[in-house]
Amino acid sequence: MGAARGSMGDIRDPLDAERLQATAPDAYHTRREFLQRTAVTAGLAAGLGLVLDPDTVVAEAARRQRAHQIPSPRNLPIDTFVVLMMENRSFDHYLGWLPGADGRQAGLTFTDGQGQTHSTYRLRDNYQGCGFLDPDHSWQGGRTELDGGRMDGFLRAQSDVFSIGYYAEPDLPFTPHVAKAFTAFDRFFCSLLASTYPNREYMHSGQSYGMMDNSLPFSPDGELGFPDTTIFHALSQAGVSNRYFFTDIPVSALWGAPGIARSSQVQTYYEQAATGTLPALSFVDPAFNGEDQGTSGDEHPHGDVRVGQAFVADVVHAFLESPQYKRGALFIVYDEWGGFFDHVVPPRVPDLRASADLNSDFGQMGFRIPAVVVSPYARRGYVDHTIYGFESILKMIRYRYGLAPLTPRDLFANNIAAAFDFESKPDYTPPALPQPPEVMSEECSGSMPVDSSGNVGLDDGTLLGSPITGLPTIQPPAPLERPKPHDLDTMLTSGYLERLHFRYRKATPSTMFRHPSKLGLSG
Amino acid sequence: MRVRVRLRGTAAVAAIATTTAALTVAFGGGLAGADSFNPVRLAITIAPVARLAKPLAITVNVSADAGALDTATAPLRIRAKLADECGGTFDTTPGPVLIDEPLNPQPATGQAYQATGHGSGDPTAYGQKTVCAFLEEEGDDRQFANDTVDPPMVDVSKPCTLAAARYDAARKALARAKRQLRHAKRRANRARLKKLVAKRSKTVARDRRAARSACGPGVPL
Repeated sequence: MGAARGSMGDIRDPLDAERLQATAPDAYHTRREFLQRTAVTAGLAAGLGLVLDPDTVVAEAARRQRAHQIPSPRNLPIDTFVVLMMENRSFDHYLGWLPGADGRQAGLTFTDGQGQTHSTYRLRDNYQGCGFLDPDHSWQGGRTELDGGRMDGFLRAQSDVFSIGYYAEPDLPFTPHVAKAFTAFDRFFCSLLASTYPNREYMHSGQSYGMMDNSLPFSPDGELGFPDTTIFHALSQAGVSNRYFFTDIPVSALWGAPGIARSSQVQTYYEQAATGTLPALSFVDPAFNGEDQGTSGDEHPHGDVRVGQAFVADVVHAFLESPQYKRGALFIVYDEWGGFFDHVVPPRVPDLRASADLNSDFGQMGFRIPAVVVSPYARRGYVDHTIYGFESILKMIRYRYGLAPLTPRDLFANNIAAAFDFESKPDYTPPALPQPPEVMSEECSGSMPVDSSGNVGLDDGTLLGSPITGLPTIQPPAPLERPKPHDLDTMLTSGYLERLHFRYRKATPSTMFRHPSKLGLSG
Repeated sequence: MRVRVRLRGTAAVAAIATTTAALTVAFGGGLAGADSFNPVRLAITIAPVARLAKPLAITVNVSADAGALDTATAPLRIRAKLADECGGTFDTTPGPVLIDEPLNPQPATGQAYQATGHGSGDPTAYGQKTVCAFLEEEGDDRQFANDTVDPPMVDVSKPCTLAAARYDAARKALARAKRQLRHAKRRANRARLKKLVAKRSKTVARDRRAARSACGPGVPL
C-alpha cells in the first residue's frame, strides 16, 4: 500500500499527472489503472475523487475488472449447455420494442418493386400469416434485402408486406417475458445470410460445407450426410456427453448415420432435465413438419407462433426446474431472420469459404435474430450489445471443454461467455415466467388474411400493405417458385430420412409438450 | 472531424501451436493454429472523460496469436469510432472516427502479431459514449476482431468542456495581459497591467484547478 500511496501522490497533483502523461504516457496510464483498481479494492475511491468523479473512478475500475472476470475453462461454473433453436424471426420483428435494446418497429418504411412505399405495421394477433408469402430468406433474397448495406430491400425480394410486420410486447406469450427476465442480445446475427439448413449447419459445425441453400447432402457415391465435424463429434472425442433432441424431424440427419445415432426425441430431454441427467450439451429442436400448411411448431411461417412459444416455454421451464439449472446455460436462438425486416447491417467475418464477391461469400453473416440466455449466471433484465453469432456459442462450449476450433468462424467469434456475470453471486431463483397455453396449429385455409388491424396480404402478386378495412375475402395467389423449398420436410418427402432408417412420427401435443394432458389435449 | 494517426508495430515470430498441423490438414490450411479466449485482441487506452469538439486521443494495441490473422486477403485496418452504441461494422457505427488506419506492419503468415496504433478524433455530442473498435480487412470490410465485448466508455462531459473552455479563455486573457505589459511604456499603465496579470494569473490557477477537477487527469488542457 505504501507504493500505492506514493504513486497516488503523483497523479492527485494535476501538474504532476499532466507532466507524467506528457513525458511517459505508458507509465501514466499503467499507474492510473493500477491506482483505480487499488482505489476500488482498498476503498480509496474517495481519495481519487479529488481528481476524478467518484462514479467515473468506480465505473472505470469495474469495467476494467469485468474484462478479466471470465474464469478459466476448468473453473467455469457451467456444466450443462442447452441450445434451443427456433425458426425464422428477426430481432426487430420480434423484439424491436425491447427496452435498452437497439430495436425499431413502427415508423420504418420500405419500397417495393413497383416503387410503392409501405410502412411497418403491427401484426397483433395474426399469428400465422396465412395467405401471405413466407418471406424470402434465401441466399440471394438476403442479399437483395441487404442492398449493399442499405437494409431496404425487404419488399424487393420475393416477399410481401408480411415481411415488414412486427409483434409488439403483448403479442407474444413467452419470448418477451424471458427476454426481459434474463439477458437478451441485440447484436446476435445468424451465421449466414441464407436459409435454414446452412444456418443450422453452422450451429452444429461452424460451416455449411459450401451449401448455400436447403440442399440435402447426397454424395455421388451414395453416402448420406456431411462429414461429422460437428461440436457433438468434437465433444464425443473428448469424452464429453452430448445429445441432439428433435421433435419430429432430426436436423442431425444432415450428418448421416452418426447424426441420427446421437439423437433422441424431445420427451427424453424433458425426462433428463427433470432427473438431472442432461448431457453436457443438448441441442433441442421444435416440430418442423407442416411449415407450409401452418401446422408446424417452430414459429416458421405459417406455423402458429403461439405453438412455438408454448414449446419454448416448456423447454425453458424444464430447464429452470432441473437440478442442472444451477450450473447450466440455455440459449434460445432462431436459425435465421426468416425474411423479416431488421435495421442493423450484419458484418462480414473470416470464414472457411470467404470471398471478396458478396454473391459467393460465406463470411457474410445474416441479419439479427432474437437471442436470449437463461442461466443463474446471466445478468437479469440485461441487454448485451456485443456482436455474436451461433459460432459464439460453439466457442463458449469449446472454451469450457478445451476443444480445438472447428473452423475459422468460431476461432474469430466473440466468446459468448463474456456475456455472463461470473463475478456476482449466481441467482438461483427462477423468475416468474408464464406458461402459455399449449395450442396446436390449424392449417391455413384458402382465404386471404385480414388481421385485426385490417392489414391484408397480396392480391395476384401485388403487394398491399396499408390498413384496409371491409375487404372481401380473396383467394391467395399461388406460391412463388423458389430454387429450393424452404422447409425441413424435404428430408422427409425426399426419402432421405427413410434411407437413414429413421422412423418419422408426426408431432402431436404428447410428443411436443411436457404436460399435454393437463390441457386435455390428446396425442 | 480531425483525425491524427500514427502507427507503429512489431511482428514477432512465435511457436505455432501443436494443433496447427492437424487443423491445417483438416481445413485446407485456412485455419489458424492458436485459439485463446480471443485469438485477436484489441486493447484500448482512452481517457474516461473528454471535451466536446476537442481532440480525444486513443491508443489501440492489436495482438494476435500465431497464425490468427493468416486468413486475411487484404490489408487490415484498425478502426474505432465514438458512438452511442456500436453497430455491426465500423461503417455502420454512427459517430466520429477516432482511428482508421492500416496496420503497420501488416501481419506475417504464421507469426504472432503485435502493433500499436494512435489516433484522435473530436467528440461531437455530450453524454456517455462507447468506443467501438474493429479490426477489418480493406475492401470488403471483413471483421477479424471487435472490441464490443467490453468496450471502454467515454463521458463527453459538459462540465469538463465548460470548465476547460473557461480555463482556455482565462489563459488567453492572461497571455494578452502579459503581452500588453511587455509593450507598455507609461509607468501608470505598467502598474495597472501588473495588477491585471496578477489577477488573471489567479483566475488561471483557479480555472485550471476547476477544469482538472471536472475533467480528471486524462484530458489535455
